Amino acid sequence: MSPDRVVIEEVQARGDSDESTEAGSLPVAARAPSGPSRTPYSWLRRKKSSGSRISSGSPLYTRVLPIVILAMGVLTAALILFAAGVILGIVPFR
Amino acid sequence: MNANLVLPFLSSTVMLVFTLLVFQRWLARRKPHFLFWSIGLGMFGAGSFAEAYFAGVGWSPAIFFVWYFFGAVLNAAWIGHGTLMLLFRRRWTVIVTGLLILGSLAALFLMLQVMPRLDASGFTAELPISEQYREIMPPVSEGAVIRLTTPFFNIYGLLTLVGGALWSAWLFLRKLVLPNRVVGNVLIAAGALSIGLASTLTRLGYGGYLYLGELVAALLMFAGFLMAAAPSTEAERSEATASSVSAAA
Repeated sequence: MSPDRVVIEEVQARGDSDESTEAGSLPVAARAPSGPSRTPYSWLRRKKSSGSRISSGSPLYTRVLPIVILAMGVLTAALILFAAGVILGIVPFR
Repeated sequence: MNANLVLPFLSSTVMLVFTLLVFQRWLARRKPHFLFWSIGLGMFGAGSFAEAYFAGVGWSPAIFFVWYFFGAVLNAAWIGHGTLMLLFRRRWTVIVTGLLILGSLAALFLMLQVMPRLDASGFTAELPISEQYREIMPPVSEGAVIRLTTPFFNIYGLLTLVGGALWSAWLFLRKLVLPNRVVGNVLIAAGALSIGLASTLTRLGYGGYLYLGELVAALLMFAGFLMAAAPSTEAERSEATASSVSAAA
């Protein structure tokens, strides 16, 4: 099995299989036979699903979004700490 | 045009469509995360509807119950719990589900306790309810213990909904796969943070931002959900079609 399909199956195993099943796309690629197939649409299955891959040179996905995700994580932590401060009485409860 | 009426009306409309779409998916697939999401989103929409009701019709104790109990206390936790059910398929999630339900029932009891003690004599439809609720509800020391429960539910909602969306986005980004899922989850997290921030500002006394935060949250989360659930490319749609045709042959 190709490295791409291994990655896709691993990602699916993390629990998003329902939505991707609904999308009807990746489980097809993940389940496709590795050897030659004689079904009419086998050429489609063997085609590498490059549309589901992110280009390693894309600045949006390699620079912008990681920073955005990190910033949102920090903001989330701050909001949680604030709420915890309310519970502990550190932050005045209004 | 009254922003206190328009903004929550738009939010509740978006949430109604969003809720029906997610509930439809639960009916089709019977997966628990769709059920919890649809319940939580329905609560969100009910809270927004209550805000529009206050601005357009006026005071109602029953509508205040809907606004505070579903809009302020529960909805974040129930939406976030859906994300937990999606990401983890372990027995302990059943325990957490039980705790959520028990906690919600306890909150219901506390909310019903405070209802007879509401004082709406100073209520005005000119102001958002988020800027008046402290004067309407008694102090915590005089019976509004329900107010102490909101941080617990909101922490759980933030952790699961925002944390889950960010973790999913990071996972796909790290593997350089599924760009629609990356962006979709980022949008969902951004929407949840929007309402989380607006709620925090409300607690600090700046309740005027709540309605705008809700609308932004509704739009971002809905857009994120649609994007995350859509196939990435035409190639994937073709593969999906090919799969269904060969399966039927």
